[in-house]
Amino acid sequence: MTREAVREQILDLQIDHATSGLGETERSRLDTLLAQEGETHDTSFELAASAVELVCLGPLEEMPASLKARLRRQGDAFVPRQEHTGPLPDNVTPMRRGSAVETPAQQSAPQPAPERTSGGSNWIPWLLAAAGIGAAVFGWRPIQEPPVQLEGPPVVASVEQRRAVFVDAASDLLSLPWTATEDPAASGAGGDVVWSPERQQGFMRFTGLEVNDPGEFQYQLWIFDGTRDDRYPIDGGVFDVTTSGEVVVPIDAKLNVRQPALFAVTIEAPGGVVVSGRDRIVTLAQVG
Amino acid sequence: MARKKGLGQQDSEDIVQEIFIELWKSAERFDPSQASETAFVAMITRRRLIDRLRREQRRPSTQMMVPEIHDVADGEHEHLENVVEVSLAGKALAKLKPKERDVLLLSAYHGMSHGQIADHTGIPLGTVKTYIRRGLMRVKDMLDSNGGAAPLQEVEV
Repeated sequence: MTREAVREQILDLQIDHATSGLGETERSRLDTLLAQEGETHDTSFELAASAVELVCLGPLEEMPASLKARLRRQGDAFVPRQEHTGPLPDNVTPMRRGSAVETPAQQSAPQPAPERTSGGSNWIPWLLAAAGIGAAVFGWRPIQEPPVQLEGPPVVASVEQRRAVFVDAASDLLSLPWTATEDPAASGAGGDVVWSPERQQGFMRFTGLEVNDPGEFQYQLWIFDGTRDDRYPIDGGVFDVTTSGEVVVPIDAKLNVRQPALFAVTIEAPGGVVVSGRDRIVTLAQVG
Repeated sequence: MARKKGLGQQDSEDIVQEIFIELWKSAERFDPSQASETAFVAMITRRRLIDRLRREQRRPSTQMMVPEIHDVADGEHEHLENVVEVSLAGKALAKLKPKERDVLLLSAYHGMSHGQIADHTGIPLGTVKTYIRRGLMRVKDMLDSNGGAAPLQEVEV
């Protein structure tokens, strides 16, 4: 194939990717051709297609209040203690920290990127603005929403105490023992995971899991949901093991878990990842 | 966007949460000199929606109509009227021949395949491909010429 033909094929694939998406084979072909040409993926076609879609979007509607509240709480986990330094857009409501007790998982949740230096813009106002833009970009049909209930007790309790109260109170509790893999970090590890489908809450308990240096690696929980594609398990939160004794960690599921099928803990780079390479799986707990 | 792709309310809420997680984690990659916030968010959103619909093997209905191009100054787009890419894309679409524009919208807005568009419109397959390519290049060139959509650094796809 001539170089011109390769360039033409790259262009065709980039346009297909931007308009109707690529299958795995086509995607792989595009990656191969780009690598062959020493190029990276050009996002300008996708931006053009996105602009076309926005032109056609039609009237915009409000996002449900309950979803906005969930996004703000979710955002709190990602932006734990950052103070924004720039002015916020007029239409943006600053995210406030939730009333729930901060969990160890939240404390160790993926940390935001360092302050931007290019373009003279701090990233946090943009991040906050995204929640406002979301209402515009994710056009929504107005619906009646029940009052939003914030989760979590308003008083400070140890995570062990909260687990005990949770286990006593949950009527639909799933309690599963961890199975350690052959990964060196899991040598002799044990413990269990408890989860309430109704409350969408749970806790992990570990013994013997290797104490980690958060600057070197962190543990991350993944929850496989029987109703979702198993290539994309739900992120259950990033956490650290600080002692060789018993460690209790609240589960911080980022999405609604409809049908829990498997809980898996992996070792990831500091801050966690969006999609795990599953190179180091340390413990597993299967439902049923 | 999620609702207009035919997702139900629960699925739409789930995917919006997934998109926000991705946005929070990839916020460092946003460069305001390369694209507006809205265009960046819309791009990430489109990727997720396209992936989701492809995974579920949902194909757009061939009964879909060519969408209307909305005037960004008509008051319905008050959130979008200041988005430079939307304004420029509207101008580029207005300069296309009606058939070219319709084919591009069936592809970029509805996600119809070339074959579906050919079946739906009666336009030969090769011409459909040409119209999509020409139309999207026009929009891209319009954005590029105004510095609104130069290639961003690679974002995880």
